[in-house]
Amino acid sequence: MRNIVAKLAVSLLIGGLVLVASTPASAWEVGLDFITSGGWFIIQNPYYPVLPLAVPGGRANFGWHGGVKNGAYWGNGNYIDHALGAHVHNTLVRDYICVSGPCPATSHQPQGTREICGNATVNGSGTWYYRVRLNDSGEPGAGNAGGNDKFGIIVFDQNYDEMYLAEGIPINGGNVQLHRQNPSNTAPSPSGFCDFLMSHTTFDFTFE
Amino acid sequence: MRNTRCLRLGIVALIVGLAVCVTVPVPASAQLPWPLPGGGSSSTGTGATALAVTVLGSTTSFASTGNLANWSDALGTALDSAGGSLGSAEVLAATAIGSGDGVASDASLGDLVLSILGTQITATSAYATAFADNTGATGGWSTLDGLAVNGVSIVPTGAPNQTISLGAVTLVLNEVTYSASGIVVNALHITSLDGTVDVIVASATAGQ
Repeated sequence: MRNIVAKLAVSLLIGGLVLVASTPASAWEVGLDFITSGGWFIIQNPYYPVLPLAVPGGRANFGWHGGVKNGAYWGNGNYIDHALGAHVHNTLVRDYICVSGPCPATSHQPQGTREICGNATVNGSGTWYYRVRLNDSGEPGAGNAGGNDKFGIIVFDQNYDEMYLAEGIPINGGNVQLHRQNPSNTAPSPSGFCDFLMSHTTFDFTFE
Repeated sequence: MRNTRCLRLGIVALIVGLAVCVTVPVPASAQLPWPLPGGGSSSTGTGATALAVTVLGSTTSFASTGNLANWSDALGTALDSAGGSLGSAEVLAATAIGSGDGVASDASLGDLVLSILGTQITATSAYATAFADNTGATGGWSTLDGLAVNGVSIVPTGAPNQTISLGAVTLVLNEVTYSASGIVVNALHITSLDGTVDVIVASATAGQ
């Protein structure tokens, strides 16, 4: 009996080691769908003034979309913090992950949260990196501003130091739209870039 | 005897390891519920444009997707800013997304400033979306925030085709047009009485 227990313990250990070795580094699933957005919000920054650049109460406008298409990451984006005078412009989408909701989105009018990560310029220059988190909480409907949809952005400098965080919970106008998966949503190789940026994130988003 | 024990141990470890690998989920694969590529019927009537300015019959479009090639396509574009003789806008974005048996598009921009025949028109944000499916059902809506004409605030009612005549120019808010081929939603459509100027702000089209 003691031998059996010992063998089982060793077997579990070996099985666990096999599992660890075979699990990809990325902890987040690549999102096999699309998310689109456009609108504006009054900036919220729960970490102000420790993270001081995004001043609460200022206005921000955004237009950002992402996904995967034909085995590659896909998307574009722009964001302006009017008080700071900073314009963040996507130059390369490097990762797209499911944060919450069905993954992939397969139902009509799906709801959920996705994150787009990549390279950016700020005011047209420099090497910057971003995490943009988008939440679709349903259609806003006429006269209901942005409904409960949410937008968040974190910007990192070239050393991957976190420089900026702003959130709109919810956005004040416009829309975030999660789209149902289509056949072009074929997976690229997981890049793990969102995970990498998350590992450099001290002050994280406050919504999922 | 020792070899037999090692063999048994190895077999048990292998079984446990394999069982763990099979039962633990890993990041999503490229499995899709329908065949690749293409899929769905062809579509030539779905696209979005953030801003289209026509002066004396000559049209300039900013952040325009063009039309989806088919109902499994995805198109997106974004512009930092747009400017011309009539004014400017920022964070322009447009997307058109197919979902196999349906299509959707959206367009947005921020910080619209226009001067048309002496009339100053400004808006914080404009967004429009339209959608259609293969049953022929269509829908759409738009938002327009912070609208002001000559400095006077105008609050949209949210009703389709809210028309405001200002003498030299006419504004149509949340302009919705249905046709046999689909739907067009414009957040704002401005025309001059003399027919020389036509400006469409955040236009989304969906249909066959």
